[in-house]
Amino acid sequence: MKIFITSVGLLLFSFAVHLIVWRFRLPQHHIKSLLIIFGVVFCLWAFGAVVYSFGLFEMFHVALFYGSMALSYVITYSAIEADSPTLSLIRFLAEAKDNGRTVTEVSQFMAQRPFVRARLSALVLSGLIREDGSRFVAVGRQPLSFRVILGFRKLYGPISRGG
Amino acid sequence: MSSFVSPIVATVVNVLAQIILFRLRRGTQYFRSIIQAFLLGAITLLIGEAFFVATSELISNWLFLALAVNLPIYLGLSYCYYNFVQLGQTSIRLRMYSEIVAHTSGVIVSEIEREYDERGFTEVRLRRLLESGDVIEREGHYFIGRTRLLHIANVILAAKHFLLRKKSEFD
Repeated sequence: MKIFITSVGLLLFSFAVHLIVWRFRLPQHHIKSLLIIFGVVFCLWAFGAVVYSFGLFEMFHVALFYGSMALSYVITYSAIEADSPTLSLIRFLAEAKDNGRTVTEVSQFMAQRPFVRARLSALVLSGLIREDGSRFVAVGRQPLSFRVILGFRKLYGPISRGG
Repeated sequence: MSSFVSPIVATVVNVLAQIILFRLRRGTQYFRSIIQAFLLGAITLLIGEAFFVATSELISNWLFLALAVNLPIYLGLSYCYYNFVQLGQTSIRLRMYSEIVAHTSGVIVSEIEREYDERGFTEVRLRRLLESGDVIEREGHYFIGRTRLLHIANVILAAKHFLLRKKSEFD
């Protein structure tokens, strides 16, 4: 019961901080900011837990519960932050109800949403790539998260090219 | 010692089983491998929880810990793993970045734009939706078929409106 209440309490507190920050000012890097909020809240709690003699195994259990839920939320948030082309299209078709949409209407709608260009801009904004004249060039070393994902993908075979 | 070990072991079983099943089938039946490995992990979790009955003072304590704590941990970790695996497959950002990283001299802008052509991008998505029955075509018009994606889209839209106060990243 203690583990459950502590973890849920921490999650609710983190979510409240996240909402307050977002209402005050939207951060430039959403995911990074979310990870910082979840991380700082946990570290502050962990410090208090050590002072108030929380059991080590219980602390680990709370970390596991809190960590898995926080990461699940961050993953889901990435789908909220950036539009999904497929879901945008679905909503556009649903808005037309029984009239449906023609190919031209679908093409016009998608042309107003340059998904590929937006993803490239996001990569530039995050400092992973830069536009150097007519080329896109990688900046610095690959972040660990990318190396892990790309390394893991080797188990499955090469990543398909194109959209 | 609390039973935090069982959701970890269950997740390890889930991950290893998924990789082994996927590789044994030579890269086919991806979703089947995800579901089968998830079920194997869930069985492992059940066995792990049963093991801790003996060490628990009260059955109700154990039941609460299993259902309210360890089951959500396992579901959360499995969800994270599923998205991690999916990333390399569906993330446009990751695919473009991996292509740019692969070329030390960089990639020409026009080449990226040709490879990830916005028009082709729409066509591919529309074709997939038609094949899955989520969209149907009648007399040159497209309509919603199955409503499962529409429900997801509505939930995401509500969350976006609540958190970001806008309906689209292009607003």
